[in-house]
Amino acid sequence: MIYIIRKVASGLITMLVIITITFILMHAIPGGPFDSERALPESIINNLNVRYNLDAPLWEQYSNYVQSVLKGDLGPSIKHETKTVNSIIKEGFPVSFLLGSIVLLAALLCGVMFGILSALNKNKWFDYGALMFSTIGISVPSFVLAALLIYYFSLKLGWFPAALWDGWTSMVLPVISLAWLPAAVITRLMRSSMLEIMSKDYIKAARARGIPTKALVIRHALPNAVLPVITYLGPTAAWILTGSFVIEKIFAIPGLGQWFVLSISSRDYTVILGLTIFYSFILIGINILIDIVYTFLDPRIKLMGTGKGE
Amino acid sequence: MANRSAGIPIICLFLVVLVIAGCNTQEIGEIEEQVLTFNLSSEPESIDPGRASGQPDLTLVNAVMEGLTRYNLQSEIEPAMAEDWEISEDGRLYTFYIRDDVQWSNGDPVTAYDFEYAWKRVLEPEYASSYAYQLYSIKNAAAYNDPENTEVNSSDMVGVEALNETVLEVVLEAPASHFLSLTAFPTFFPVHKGTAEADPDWFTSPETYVNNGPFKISGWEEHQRFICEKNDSYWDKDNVNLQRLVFTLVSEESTALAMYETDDLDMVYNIPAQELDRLKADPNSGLVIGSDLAVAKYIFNITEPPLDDVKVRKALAKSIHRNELVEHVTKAGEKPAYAYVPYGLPDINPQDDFRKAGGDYFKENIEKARELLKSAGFPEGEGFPELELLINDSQDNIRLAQAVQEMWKQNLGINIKVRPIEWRVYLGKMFDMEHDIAAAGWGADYNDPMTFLEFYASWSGNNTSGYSSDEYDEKINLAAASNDPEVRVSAMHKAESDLMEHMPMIPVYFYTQPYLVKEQVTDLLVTSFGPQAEFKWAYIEK
Repeated sequence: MIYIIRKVASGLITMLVIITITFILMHAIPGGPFDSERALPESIINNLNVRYNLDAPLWEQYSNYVQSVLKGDLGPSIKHETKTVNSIIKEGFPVSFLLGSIVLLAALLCGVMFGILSALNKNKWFDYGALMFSTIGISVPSFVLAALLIYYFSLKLGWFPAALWDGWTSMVLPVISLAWLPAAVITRLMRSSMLEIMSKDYIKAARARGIPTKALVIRHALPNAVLPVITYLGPTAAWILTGSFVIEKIFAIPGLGQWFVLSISSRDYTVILGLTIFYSFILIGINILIDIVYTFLDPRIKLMGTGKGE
Repeated sequence: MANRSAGIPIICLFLVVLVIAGCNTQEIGEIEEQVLTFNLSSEPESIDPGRASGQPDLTLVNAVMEGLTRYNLQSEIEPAMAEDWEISEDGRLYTFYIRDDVQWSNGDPVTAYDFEYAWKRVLEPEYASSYAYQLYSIKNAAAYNDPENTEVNSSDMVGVEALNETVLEVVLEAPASHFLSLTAFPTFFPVHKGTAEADPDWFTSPETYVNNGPFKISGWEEHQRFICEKNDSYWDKDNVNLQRLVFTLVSEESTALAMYETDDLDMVYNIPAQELDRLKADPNSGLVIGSDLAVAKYIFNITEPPLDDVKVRKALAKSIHRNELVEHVTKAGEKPAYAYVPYGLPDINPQDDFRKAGGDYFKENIEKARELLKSAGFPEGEGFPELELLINDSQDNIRLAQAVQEMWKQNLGINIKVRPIEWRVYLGKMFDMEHDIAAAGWGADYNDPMTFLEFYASWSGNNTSGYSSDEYDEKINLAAASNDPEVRVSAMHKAESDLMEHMPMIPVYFYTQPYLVKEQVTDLLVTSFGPQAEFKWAYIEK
């Protein structure tokens, strides 16, 4: 319990540090939200600054901001006046989360399955085939894959729509683009970890007792072999669930990733800060969660009192 | 432990079933005949007419709202909410007569009071519209918009007044021949006073959006699409043929192109440059090279040597092979520019073209350029410092800049360093005059050469060259204050001649607007400023 409290407390401090650093960096980069190629009269810039409280001293803006964050209000978007940061998260996060969940699940299922089969068929054609697919997955960037998928499956074959978020058919291509890399990594992790476990004495003993391979893998080898995959899943889950910037843009998916990119290029201060806070919250939260899950899966960690997840 | 692990896939599977079941499977209804799908590229920042500023904002607002006037298919101003108007002899007093039969989507009549309210609202400092300056030609508008100006402290002092429900009187600071075209711009659109006063967030959802244009918003999906239906309460509904107008919000250019090619879009802008050759070669692609009122130019900082010497500037201007640039780099049918103001703007006789009347002001001439450089003290480029060419970091800009860099090196023997930087950092550097040379584009705000020429007046906030000339300012002032087309236009021709003589910037080419449109789409007007397209008269040919 103390272990968990300590983790949560350090997470909160990290978040405050992140807010402060982001706030400083954001105001340090040149350019502001109202810059345009047309020079605006000074009175208009002043009016806009007053409206969004950007005329106040920085420390005052910072303190106001932290206070409103503590109340759960991440403020209005400066550029999109129909939005607040809370509404952006409320609308965008479920979409990114949905896409991310499917991607994670697809990556996990494919990765674990191919990893186990590769290990069991070490140095046979299946293993080499899986190696080839993993190498492609690791070396081809998701946006290149996305472009290829759109070209063949939308333009040439017409099987799936090229973009927009209209039902399950529109999810297929973005899911493949995003899931390939983590699936490839999981396959490799799973394969090497399975090979290691399968050579352990207790597995040999179990095999000697005549336990069939299927039961041996599922009951005895898998639970131990899956640990490195879970470590990998922590940051990957946070990355995937909060939305992929590039893939969301390519497929016009209304998730959080698009907003984040847009907010930085348009210097939408409140959205940059709000989304950074939200991302940090998710990332730190998932890491704490993984640490806790780890203590259940591997009791040695609890004894040592330190986590491997971070 | 084994049970716990086995549970993970089951939980995941359950999650997937849940999420797939919850997926939004809403499809746009059955394809009707008169439906047009247009890619707006990005989510509008605001669809409150008073704050609409980006092209997506202006395009959407122009489809669902209407001002006193509107551009017709011939790109001429025609009556819209106003059925008629009178202009006083001195060109400063405009009286607009609002139609009797015009109404808002909630059934209320559109009145002159709605216009007065909307314009004054834009000018209120607290409202903080970034486009408030569009109204600055109205008497006392700029002063009222500036809270530090204490002389004009009441909206009653602004030169716009509704005399009754149908008569709107506008007094200008000075004659402005382009004022009627301004009234077709969304910042000048009316707002339903009762709605805006009762609910400041009225424009944030289709349910509360009260409009008066040819279409009305019926659906709004974040980062996806706006769906607009024909507005049956629009005064000129008989001339509106489209039943539905769908604006998609796909920002990735190559994706939008794929959607066009799979017939999911009827029209797209912003075609990736590398696709232009392929599309040009295919006669069925639907590629149109539309004209544009915009110029690509290199702005010099003439306050520092060696660019403070006009001979150096002219040498640089004369040593760029513009034809090669437009044929092999930009590839979208652009015209090489040997003057500043683009084609397509009116001359003394509005039917004549200002550019054609003015002609070219210089020619490429490598020998002459070398001579100029030599007489400036840099024979064969010797001793010429390495200048920096500041550009916005898009791939197209980088390609263009590298080509020009190579031309200057080969033709003049000088080295220019290309510096691509992020858009807003680039803007900051240019406005702070931290550039030697900056690549920039400028598009028209309204249909008059002045929209380009006032850029280089010494007081213009956009003038980032350091150019300041009393003679030039005088010509601009003369053109701005006069109501006589002959005086105005000849002053503008002389101003342009001055500019090309001193060359605080060099024009490179005049932009075009390449876009793709399906063959069956008819009577869709593509505009060069403000909204991207006018949909009022468009229809799908059967």
